[in-house]
Order: sequence, then C-alpha cells, then structure tokens
Amino acid sequence: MLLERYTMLLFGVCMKYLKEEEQAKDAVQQVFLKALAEMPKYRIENVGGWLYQVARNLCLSSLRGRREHAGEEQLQYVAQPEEVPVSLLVEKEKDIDRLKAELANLKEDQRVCVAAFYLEKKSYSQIAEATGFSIKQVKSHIQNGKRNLRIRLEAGS
Amino acid sequence: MSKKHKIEDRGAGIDEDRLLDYIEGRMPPDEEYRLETILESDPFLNDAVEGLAEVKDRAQLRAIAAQINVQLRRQVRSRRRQRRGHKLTEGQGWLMVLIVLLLVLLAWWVIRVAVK
Repeated sequence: MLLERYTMLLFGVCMKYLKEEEQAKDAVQQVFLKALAEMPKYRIENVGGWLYQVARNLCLSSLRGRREHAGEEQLQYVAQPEEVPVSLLVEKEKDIDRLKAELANLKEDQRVCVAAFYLEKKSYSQIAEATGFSIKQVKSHIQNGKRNLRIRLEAGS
Repeated sequence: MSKKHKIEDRGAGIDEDRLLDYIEGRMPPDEEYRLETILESDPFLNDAVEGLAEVKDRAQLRAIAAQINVQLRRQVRSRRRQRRGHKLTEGQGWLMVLIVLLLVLLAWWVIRVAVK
C-alpha cells in the first residue's frame, strides 16, 4: 500500500515534534485517516510532501494545545521551508569568489562547519569529531551558516 | 508487502534499511555524507531522521512501523466495508423497485376496496 512507504518517516516527523512515542503513533494514525479521506478527492502529485505537511500541521496544532505545559521552546524545532538553495545563487565564477568572501564573513563556528560540509565533503559525524561539537550543533551551525550565506548572497545579487 | 520499502520524496530515494543504518551510525562515511546532502535539502527526511534518532529503543522501530501499518490496513478494510454497506448491488436495486411497485399496487387495491 502506498501509504505504508511513509510510515517510518511520518513516525519520525511526529516523534521530532511530539517527543512521545505513543502520541507520535496516534498522530501517524490521524495523518493516515486524513489521507484516506482526502486523497481520493484530489490529484496529489507529491504524496510525500502532502503527508509531511499534514503531519507537521497536526503536530504543531497538538503542541499549541499543550503549550502551557510544554513551554515555547518545543515550537522552535519547526523546520523552516527550504528557500533558494545556495548552489542556485552561485552560478558564475565571480559568484564563487563572492561565496568564498561571504564565507569568511560568517561566524567562526558556522564558517568551519559550512566549509567542512560543502567544500571538504565531510559528514556530520566527521565534522563533530574534528571540531568537538555535537552532531546537533554541527547541523545547527550548517543550517544557520547556510541561511546567513543565502541572505548575504541574495542581498548582493 | 515487501520487507524493504523504497521511500521517495522530492526525488530523493532511501530505503528503510539505509535509513536505520544511518541512525544507528552503521553507514560508511562517504554514504553518510551523500545521505546528509539529501537531508540538507529535504525537510521531510531531515525531520524524520531527527525524530527517529530520539526513539529510545531503536531496535523497536520496525515493530512500531509494522504496528501502525496493521492499524492502517484495519482502517482501510473498515472503510471498504462501510462503502460496500452503503452501495446497493444492481439486483438489490431492482428488488427495491419491485417492492415499491407492489406497495403502490397494494395501496391502490386497498383504496379501491375501501371506496366500494
């Protein structure tokens, strides 16, 4: 069945936001119930993307419901939608020079992680081992560095 | 259903075994890096990996997914049954028409007798 291909991924997404296995399992069931009811009505081309949005919205509304118990911090885990990838902003040689220049302007932690990941092609765990950061910190530095690079490159284009 | 499910989203493809290998840290560095470049541009997969990594007993992940799938199949079966319950077959439809006609005839006959 098509939906079964996404069970593990959806459970992971719901775990990320809800942090509780039982609640995550219930949330996946609710996503599937919605999918069974809604999918036959529409022509959905990106089933995975649609399921992801449904799961995220469901988790976020559940988190909003229990915000007073959970505190605001859980909502900070919401992934930001992917904007224009940095690679698309760097098409010409002069752009690569600009990228290198902007890279130097990033904060030290972000610069080290972005350069190691994108230029030296090192995995998160290799970067973590080399820098002493946790994998979560490495990912965070790459994300923030990428975002700051994008902002700087877009501002200059 | 096959044991391995190919998971595809936004052009990225990864099967459950590889996903679990990555979460368990059993993947060679070059493959790990390739997967991470996908994670960087695929929020669905990225969120899923982060969430799965938070499960305490990761050996249970397959069992959890299987349990959810059993529930899903139950829901699908029950929906099919409901749909079948609401739909009349062609034979049942004609039988209903016949019953209505007989009732009309009976009513007509009763009225006719009563008038006489």
